[in-house]
Amino acid sequence: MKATSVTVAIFALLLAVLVGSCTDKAPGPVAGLGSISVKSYVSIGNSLTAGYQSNGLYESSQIYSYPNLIAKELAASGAVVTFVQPLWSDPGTPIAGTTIASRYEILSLVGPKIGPAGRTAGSPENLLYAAPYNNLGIPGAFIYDFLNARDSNTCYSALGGTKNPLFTSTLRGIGTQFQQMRLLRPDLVTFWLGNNDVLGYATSGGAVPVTSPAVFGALYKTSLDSIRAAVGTSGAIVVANIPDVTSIPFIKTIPSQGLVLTQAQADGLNLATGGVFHFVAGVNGFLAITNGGVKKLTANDYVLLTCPQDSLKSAGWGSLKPIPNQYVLDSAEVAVARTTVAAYNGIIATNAVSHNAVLVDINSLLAQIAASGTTYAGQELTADYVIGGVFSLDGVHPTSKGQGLIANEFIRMMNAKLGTSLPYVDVGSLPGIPAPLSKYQFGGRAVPYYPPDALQALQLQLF
Amino acid sequence: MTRIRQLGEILLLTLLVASVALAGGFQLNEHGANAMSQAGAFAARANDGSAMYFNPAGLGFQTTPSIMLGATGIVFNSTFYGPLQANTNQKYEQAKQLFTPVNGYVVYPVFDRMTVGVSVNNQYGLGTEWPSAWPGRFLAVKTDLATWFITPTVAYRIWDQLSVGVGVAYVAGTVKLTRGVDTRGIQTPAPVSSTLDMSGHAMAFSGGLLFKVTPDLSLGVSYRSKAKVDASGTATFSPDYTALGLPQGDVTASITLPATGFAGIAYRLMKNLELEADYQYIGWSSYKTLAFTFAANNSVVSSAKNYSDTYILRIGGEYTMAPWHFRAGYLYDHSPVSDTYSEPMLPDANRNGLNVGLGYDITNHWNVSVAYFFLKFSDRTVQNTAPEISFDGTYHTYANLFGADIEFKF
Repeated sequence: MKATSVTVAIFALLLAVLVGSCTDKAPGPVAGLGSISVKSYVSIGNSLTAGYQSNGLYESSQIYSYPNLIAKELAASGAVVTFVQPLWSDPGTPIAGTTIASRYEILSLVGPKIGPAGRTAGSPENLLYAAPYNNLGIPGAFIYDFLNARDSNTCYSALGGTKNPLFTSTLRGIGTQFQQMRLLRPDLVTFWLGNNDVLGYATSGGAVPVTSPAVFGALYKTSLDSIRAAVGTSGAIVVANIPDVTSIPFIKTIPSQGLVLTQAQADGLNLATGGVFHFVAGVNGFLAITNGGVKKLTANDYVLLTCPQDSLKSAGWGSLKPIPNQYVLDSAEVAVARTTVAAYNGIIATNAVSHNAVLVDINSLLAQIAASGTTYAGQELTADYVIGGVFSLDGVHPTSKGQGLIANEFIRMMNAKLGTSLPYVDVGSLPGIPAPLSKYQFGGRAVPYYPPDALQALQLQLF
Repeated sequence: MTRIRQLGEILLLTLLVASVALAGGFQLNEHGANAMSQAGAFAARANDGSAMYFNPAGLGFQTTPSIMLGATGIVFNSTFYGPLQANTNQKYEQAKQLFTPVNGYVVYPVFDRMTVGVSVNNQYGLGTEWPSAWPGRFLAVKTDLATWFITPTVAYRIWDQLSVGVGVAYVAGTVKLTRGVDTRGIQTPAPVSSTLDMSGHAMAFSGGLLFKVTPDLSLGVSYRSKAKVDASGTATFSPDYTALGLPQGDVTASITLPATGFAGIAYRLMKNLELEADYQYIGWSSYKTLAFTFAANNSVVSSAKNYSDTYILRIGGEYTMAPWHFRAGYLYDHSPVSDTYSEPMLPDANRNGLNVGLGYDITNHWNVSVAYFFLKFSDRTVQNTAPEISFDGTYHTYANLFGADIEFKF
């Protein structure tokens, strides 16, 4: 029986080892703030910070602004933080001079048709909030505005002739963005300005001038000096840099090489234009008016999303009628925009180091998404217009999912540089762009009924 | 040795038997409580109807007709901590599930040296069920795979000590997969999920040799070929927003069940004690991709699996104190899945299994066997999963298996 005893002992031991190795402690990272404390968080910025989406500012986009998402993760990690934003009730801000909401919606999956839906605009929900808002992101803010704009009359765009009413509704006469930030005595400030200083140039096809890097540098340094003085040496400052303008669908969606001709059509056009443009059978660049005159667009030139596509399809734009200048960003203008962005980002990086601020490289994030998209848990997000999931219907501002990607990049750098262990936002649970689909299915069909190839149509086949 | 001490040891051994082994990937190796209780180290002895699984040549030494019927209950627990892409250790538990693979064997000696038989069992099976709104819902929510193998077998005793056996299997399989649908940038009023419900069949063959070198030493080797199941069925999307052009309707896929082989050596240590050690090879490298073809729009959704060939090491033994048989075994099952392709549809890891079991000869004709198997997957933290998966975290899995078989010998 000795063999039995030995066998029993061995198996009892093995069983004990196996059972004992069942672990109860949850493996993996634990949420926490590390050694910093966060009691007051203020975000400074422009429309990206405000949560502007699809050409409008409305509550159901603002709750997914990256600062609000960061505030939620701070709270999940133990920070006792209230984060108040200047909310506009859905459907949000009006088209200037009207009572119609400016927000773009997918009006029809056929086409697709995108534009304002004719809804009555919303209104501000918490103008009487007794303290400055924590989210001081104002759509249309330039670097100049941070220290100088007090209302719609004194903002940078007012100096150029266009008053921006959102300055009045967000600042409410309490002071500039800087002064209101200081009143909140923040121990964490996120600062993201500079996009509009170069973006206006790009989205107007070169009509609005850029802020020169010298001016930008001076204003940026003074801004960070002021913030650092206000938060003291222990406060955390997080700054983000400027993405490349050509990584947004506003610039990239309509192909500049979108003129597809038969041999007969090419011959006809060459005859009509004196053979100067060498049209060929197949793919050609559109004809457009640029600063150097009429030009046949190359692959380095871009047609803006604002260009009326009906005119491209059926009114002869791009061939018999060159596309007007304001809908084109040609390669020379792209070069100006790129150089400017590079100069700004150099200034931002230098100032981040000299002011001991965390730098979030949004330029690289969006460049990577534009190049190859990003995946998470079986979902794919790309920079494609409408279906990509990152950019909203105005082709410039992110969707809620895009804001989630931005928030995660901020959180990643905060965890790396500030020693926090904040969980990331679950981008998969953030909403995309609402589609005009009925909630109720009758006999297996959506009401109203759209043709089954509607999703293919979203890839904007022009010809 | 006192009676009490004997009883204590018997009870302890009893606690260890049962090898309903969910072997690597979705292969099942629990096909008879006797073999299972010895960790499936059975190819060199194969002395009951389950020989048709472990080594068909074993039939050649079975000279009495017999029928054996049984089933195994598998209670499966699996937890995921993560995903690390969200920098969190949030816990997600699979719904506790019960699987019941069954086995049935009929053995009939026809001539002096030839025995035939038919076996019915479930050689591959899998089920996972995660919470329907969890972050991994676009990878897996509910997965069910079941297979039936019907294998007529014939064995022939070439010499008194050497038997050869072959079998041909008809394989019927069903698979049902449910998971979320990524509608990309478009937000639907309600989240869309897809269910693929498919079935198919295939043929496979098996063969083996069993050599009783001496009355105390025997060697066994067997092989079962891979089976390519061409499955077809229906894809359902719920809700079905026709405007999105989701490919509702016919869907096809092809799944190759791997080839497997056993090599075992059994030794009679003492009059009443037999021990066996087996090496099992499983050719999982045949499972490289899982691709679904949707007839509605002729699209193919394909995911890389890239399983590797792998092995299982088995040791088991039986101590007979008539009418009782005390059995125990241990196995180590090496996972065919790499970190890169680990995903929640089938959370796999290296596994350790401890088995105990008991057999009781009721009469000369009837006997029963019961088995208990504790199967522990190593805690596995997967990082750097492939881009199309992007779901890192820690899996913690174990299973309790209970098997019982009843045999009647004519």
